[in-house]
Amino acid sequence: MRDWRRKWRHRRMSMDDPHSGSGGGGSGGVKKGDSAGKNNEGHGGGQGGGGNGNGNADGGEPLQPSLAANEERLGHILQDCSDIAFRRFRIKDGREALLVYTEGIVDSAETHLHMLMPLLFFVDPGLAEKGADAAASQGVSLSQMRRIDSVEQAVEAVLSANVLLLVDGYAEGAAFNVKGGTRRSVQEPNSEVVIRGPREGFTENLRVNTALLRFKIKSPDLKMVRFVKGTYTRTDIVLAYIDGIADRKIVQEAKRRIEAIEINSVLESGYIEELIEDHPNSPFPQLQYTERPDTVAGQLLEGRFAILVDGTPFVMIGPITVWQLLQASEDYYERFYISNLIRWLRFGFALIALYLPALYVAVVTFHPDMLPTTLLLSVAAAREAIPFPALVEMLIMEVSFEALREAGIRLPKTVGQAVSILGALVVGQAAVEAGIVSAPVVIIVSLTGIASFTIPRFSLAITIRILRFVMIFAAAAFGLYGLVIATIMLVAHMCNLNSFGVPYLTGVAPFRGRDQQDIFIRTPWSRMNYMPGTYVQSRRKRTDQNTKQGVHESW
Amino acid sequence: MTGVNRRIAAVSALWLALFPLLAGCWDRREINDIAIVLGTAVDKEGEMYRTTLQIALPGQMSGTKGGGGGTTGRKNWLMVSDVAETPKFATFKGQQMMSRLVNLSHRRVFIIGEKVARDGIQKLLDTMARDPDNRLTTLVLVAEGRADRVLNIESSLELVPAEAIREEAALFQRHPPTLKDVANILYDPGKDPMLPCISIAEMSSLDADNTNKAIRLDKLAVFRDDRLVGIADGELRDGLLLASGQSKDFKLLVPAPEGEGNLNVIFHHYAARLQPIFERERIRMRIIADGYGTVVENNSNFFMHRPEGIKKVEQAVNDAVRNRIEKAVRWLREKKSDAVGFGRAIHVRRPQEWHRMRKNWREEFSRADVEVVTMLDVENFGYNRAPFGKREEVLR
Repeated sequence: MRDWRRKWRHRRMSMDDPHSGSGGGGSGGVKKGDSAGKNNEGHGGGQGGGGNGNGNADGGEPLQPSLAANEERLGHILQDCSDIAFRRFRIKDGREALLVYTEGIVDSAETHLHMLMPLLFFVDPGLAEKGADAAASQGVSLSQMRRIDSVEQAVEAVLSANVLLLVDGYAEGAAFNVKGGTRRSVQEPNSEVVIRGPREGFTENLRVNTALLRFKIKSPDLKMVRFVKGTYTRTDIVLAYIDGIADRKIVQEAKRRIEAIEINSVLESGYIEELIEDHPNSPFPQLQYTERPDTVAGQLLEGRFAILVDGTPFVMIGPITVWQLLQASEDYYERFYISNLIRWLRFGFALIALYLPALYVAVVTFHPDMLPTTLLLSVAAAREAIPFPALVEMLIMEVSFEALREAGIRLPKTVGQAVSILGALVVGQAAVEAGIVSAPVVIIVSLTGIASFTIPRFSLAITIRILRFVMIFAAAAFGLYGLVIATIMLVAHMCNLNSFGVPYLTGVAPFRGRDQQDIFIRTPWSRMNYMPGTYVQSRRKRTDQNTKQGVHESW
Repeated sequence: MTGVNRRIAAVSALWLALFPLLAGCWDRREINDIAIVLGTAVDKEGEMYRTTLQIALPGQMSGTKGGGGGTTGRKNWLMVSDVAETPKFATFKGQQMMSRLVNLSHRRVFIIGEKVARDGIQKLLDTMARDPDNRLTTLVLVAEGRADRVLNIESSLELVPAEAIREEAALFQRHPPTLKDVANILYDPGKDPMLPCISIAEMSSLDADNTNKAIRLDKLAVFRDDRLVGIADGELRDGLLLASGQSKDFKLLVPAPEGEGNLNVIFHHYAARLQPIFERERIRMRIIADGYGTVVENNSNFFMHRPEGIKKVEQAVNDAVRNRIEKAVRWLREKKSDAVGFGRAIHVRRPQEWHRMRKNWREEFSRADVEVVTMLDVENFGYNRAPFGKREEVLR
């Protein structure tokens, strides 16, 4: 935490934002959005719901009483935006009115049914005296509405899926949230497939995502604080946590860091991740991301916070420990024998993914005496005709495997077949038969590849991929000695890391006895009585009492 | 560039600059630059030592390479040998005939020629403790006659003769002595080395005009201090193995107590204990042989399946074992070699007495009485009562 601030300030100063000077409305709007989020904290449900109660406090160009003037001004700002619709009409009581909205992102059927129809046909003429606001609120049968005083607010509202209603004669307008448009529906998450567990995944729509969380945690303690970031993108960001479980200090720190962000655009949660993490130079991920609502809910219930960003299905979770990155949500759904077995397998293969190629290089070039004789003879036989040193051989295969994997991700499915044939036949078999690489190296590289796929979090898998090369070089330079030194440095680095003030290796270093229930072993739910101590405000029991069912003591 | 970045750059530059400096210290050695020695044989020619290295040829061993190859005629190993004043120096001279660096870390067996063994093996061992290339877990054996000849006998079952010898040694006795054991024994005045002894066996082949040679491990070389004093075979060897508890799945052929023919007994469980007993002037060494065996063959017309029949078999077995042990101990006393380790047993049980007598232990040993107590049971006769395929009326 201590050096976080220093790094943070440094980065913020160097951030290039050519537009922050012009258009004071833009950056001012950001601040207002933040304060809106804060005021709104209590009932974190409604998007844009009444946050603007403080009115036209920070200036901006006020709306004119004349509808024509307003229309011209808005038309000027939204010039050449062909997706903005201006609909001029006459309210039933005879006043001129204007609807402004962005086509495609508002639900036009709803707009017609609940705005245009009542205003055109059913408005009580007596309401005319009470302003656009009152007219709208009583004539329009839509739930989410806010008052608009300035041109900037009007533009912002129009661009974020509101329908703006301006009535002639009033220097104010009303914005109705009729978010619509087509976005991907809830689907099974592609990046985290489980055998047992919910099949639904987050979508690009923030409100769908918050709803998916709310489905799971029906408690008023689940708070969702809203922020708006990005001068151009005006992206909604929601910080979710459970009040009473999450550590208030950590939540406060998360809010502070998000508020401090100044950036032009937020297209994915990764933008936020890099801006708020503690150690931007570390290869280790300090926030977890997931597509699964059940994972997020589980983490929230363990006292962590989640950051949801509109426009991406990837939700970030913090603070995290490295152990958490080695756990899959299925660990908690399967019976504990199964999940423990799989968890140990994963731990073992994580080590293989990190060390095996380096170990091979070290043993073959420095310590052939460490291999059993018969194994050494087979390795020696395979290496007999190879023209390269073991290091070069290993690098050739590792790099081509990484390339193969990268190619496989990007390619369309139909071409993927061709890549796997090329990879298996050309790189694997032919290279061995031609005597360019030896068979043990191919075996080790493929085993390592499999091992890196067993790591449930892609971000940690990438870290291990990077560190694997460091290990290979250390082993090639100094043998097992180098491997040990590199490991010591790695462990020292990991001990030094923290995520929002929580040490990265929490549970093991610093050691916490109670956390052992869910690090190397996953105890059965009937025994898992405590939340992990670090994140939780007080040592709170998961269950009020041990409610193990089905134990017949009379037997 | 800020200060932090500059520091990082400077540190990385320093690291990179260090690498070339290290080039000389790197003991990086690719596997295809080392000659993997699997066995060594040491012989004596006049006053000079001949060291023979058996080096694996991995290229010949596996069939990963396409294009025929096969195993026809070409051996999997290479013998390199040279003569010098010391065994280690002969190795260095041998190195000069090879393009790959000798690597001793995978040496399975160290074979001492009979002549060297008679002159004393201590001189061979010094380099083992001094040169870190050697491994103390290498098995030590004695060859009857020349060691290099035995090491060059092809075994069809293993890729390399050295490996075959090691496997045979593991089958022959319970704990085949390693270099470390031999060194320990040489330091201890209460025990003399007893090493397995290999020889070349002519194996009559099915091809009428051809005889195959094989490595046979069926003898024990007994030392006094570091000098070979005798090679034991047959019942003598059995007695030594039984007295020292080194026998492994001991097979005993005893004449049937009655009638004609033999019984074959295997001892899967066998242990021998040495118990020194002090009686005024004399020491009595009691050897307690304990274990139980299985009859695997009844080649006689003796009918075992009666209580007295079982008793008689056990009696015969116990007698046979006692005879062998007594014979072996008598032979050892004659050779003044305490290969079984009576002295060590006294050292363990009666340290004070031992310090008094360790000076002239050899004399004491040749005067000591030896008593053999056998407590062997025969537990398993097999379920067919009569010898298989024999009518009961011809049995006795």
